[in-house]
Amino acid sequence: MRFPRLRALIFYSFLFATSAPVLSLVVLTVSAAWRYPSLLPTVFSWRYLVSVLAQDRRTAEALINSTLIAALTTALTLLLAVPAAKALGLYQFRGRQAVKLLVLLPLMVPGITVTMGMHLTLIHLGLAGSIAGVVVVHTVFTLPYATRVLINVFELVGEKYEKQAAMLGASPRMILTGVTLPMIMPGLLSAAIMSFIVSFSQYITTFFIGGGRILTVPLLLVPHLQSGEIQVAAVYSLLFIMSTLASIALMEGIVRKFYKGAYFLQT
Amino acid sequence: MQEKSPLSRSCGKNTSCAGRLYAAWRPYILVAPLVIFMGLTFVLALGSAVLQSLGFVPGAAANVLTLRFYREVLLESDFLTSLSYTIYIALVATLLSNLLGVMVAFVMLSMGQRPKWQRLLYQVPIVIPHLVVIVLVFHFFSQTGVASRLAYWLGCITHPNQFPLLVFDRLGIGIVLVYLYKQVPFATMIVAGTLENISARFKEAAYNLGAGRLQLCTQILLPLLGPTILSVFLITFAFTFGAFEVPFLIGTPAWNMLPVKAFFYYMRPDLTYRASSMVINVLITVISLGFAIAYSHILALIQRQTEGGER
Repeated sequence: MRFPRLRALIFYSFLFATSAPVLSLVVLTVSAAWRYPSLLPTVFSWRYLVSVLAQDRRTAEALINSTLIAALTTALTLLLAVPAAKALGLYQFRGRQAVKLLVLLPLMVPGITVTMGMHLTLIHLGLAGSIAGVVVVHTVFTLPYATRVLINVFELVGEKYEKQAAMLGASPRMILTGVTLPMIMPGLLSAAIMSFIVSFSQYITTFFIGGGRILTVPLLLVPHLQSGEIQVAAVYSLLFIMSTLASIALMEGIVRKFYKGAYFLQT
Repeated sequence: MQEKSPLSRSCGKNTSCAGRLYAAWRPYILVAPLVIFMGLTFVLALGSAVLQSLGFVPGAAANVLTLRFYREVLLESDFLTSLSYTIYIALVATLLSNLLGVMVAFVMLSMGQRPKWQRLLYQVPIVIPHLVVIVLVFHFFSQTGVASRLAYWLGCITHPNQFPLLVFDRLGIGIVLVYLYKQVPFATMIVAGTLENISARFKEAAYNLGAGRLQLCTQILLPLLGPTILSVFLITFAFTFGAFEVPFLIGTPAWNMLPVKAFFYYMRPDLTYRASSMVINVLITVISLGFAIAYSHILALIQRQTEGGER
């Protein structure tokens, strides 16, 4: 192996560049003053953390809205994506490629176009400015990720175990809860996590369809970014990352608890 | 594969006709909710965008189908500026992130199996939303940011004003930095996955047949990696081309990337501007879709080539 030092240097600086900035976010949230040439904050205090997390009532509202919207979006996404992914992954049928393309298209079409295009429809349906409307729009953007993961899982798992269970006399419901769900659970989990993160990170879609009435964490963050209050923006960023991580941990915990003995395929 | 045309088969002794019929319709029943949902949201949205771009804007003064707005937008002097600026940013961000991503993936593979915490650590940026990355780029690269302070301590500058403008700048360095932070790990992750797979299959064989390390890289790994790199390139390009938030929040006020331009048109109180906004939206959608089509064609071509080679 040539240049082992150089390669180690490249790899570890890459690791450093990806992770260190996130840590600096933590420092930023506890700095009350950071005069120019100083490399570290000149005054440390909890002021920004306290004022944003404890004193601003909009923070709690935004956090609840964000979590609720992301949870509903995830549920709707899985409800639509699981059956479709099963058909797309296991069966050959006319129009299969067209459906596959349709569900992946939102990854290729600019998000702002879809959002603006849906704006009028949602106003007509009376969904603009409501949680339901925001969930619908977020779902358009989470579906491609979820469906893609789940198609792969169904292709990997195949149908033979379900057929075997049916042959042995299992009812459709037993097959679903005893065979299908445990086998696709790892894929289901990553599809859910991805949907949750994508929904949680949405800014312009929520801004547009929520019409300023639905407050989420990104909507609270952006004005502070625009006015240069970087410490406040950092507190919201940290809140954002922490609540995403907590939700992922919760989802993983629930799955592990209920599918302890499940046969986990490597996906 | 066997169920290609289930309806054409006659009903057998063991399965009832109803069962056969259900088997034939089952895929359609399973995809129906998703297709209906996408039809009512996504497809309808694109249709609405096209209609509005043709002048059919509900609530606006005149509702005649016309190509007037296409002509007006295309002839506007700063449309070309916006288009070239958009292509420039998307190209620079995508090329750099792919180059770095492939490089890191090769380096990582050559260093052997990395421990799990390292593989998790480098993927952190993938789950961090763009908004937070913008906060980070502000923190590090604004004129009073960390980089500027380091430059001060190293004696390169004596005043923050001397630090080059890296956010809100005309070259779009701030925008590119945000995308690099997000996309380099993404490219690394995808490429490393394929690379590990290919390397496991061909490395020993290639060495046994007397290939050198360079030959392994250029003759086997890179060609087989082609489709993966290309797909990452096109996915990141299409995304960067049509993304709104990053240029909106950290871009220069002098030139707007096309999605930002569409947004400003849409937000004007005069509703006829919505037509102009939708013209831009339709154009960026067509360009993005062009990339998607090119991508699938090239991918199919390469797949056919490699399959032919394996036979």
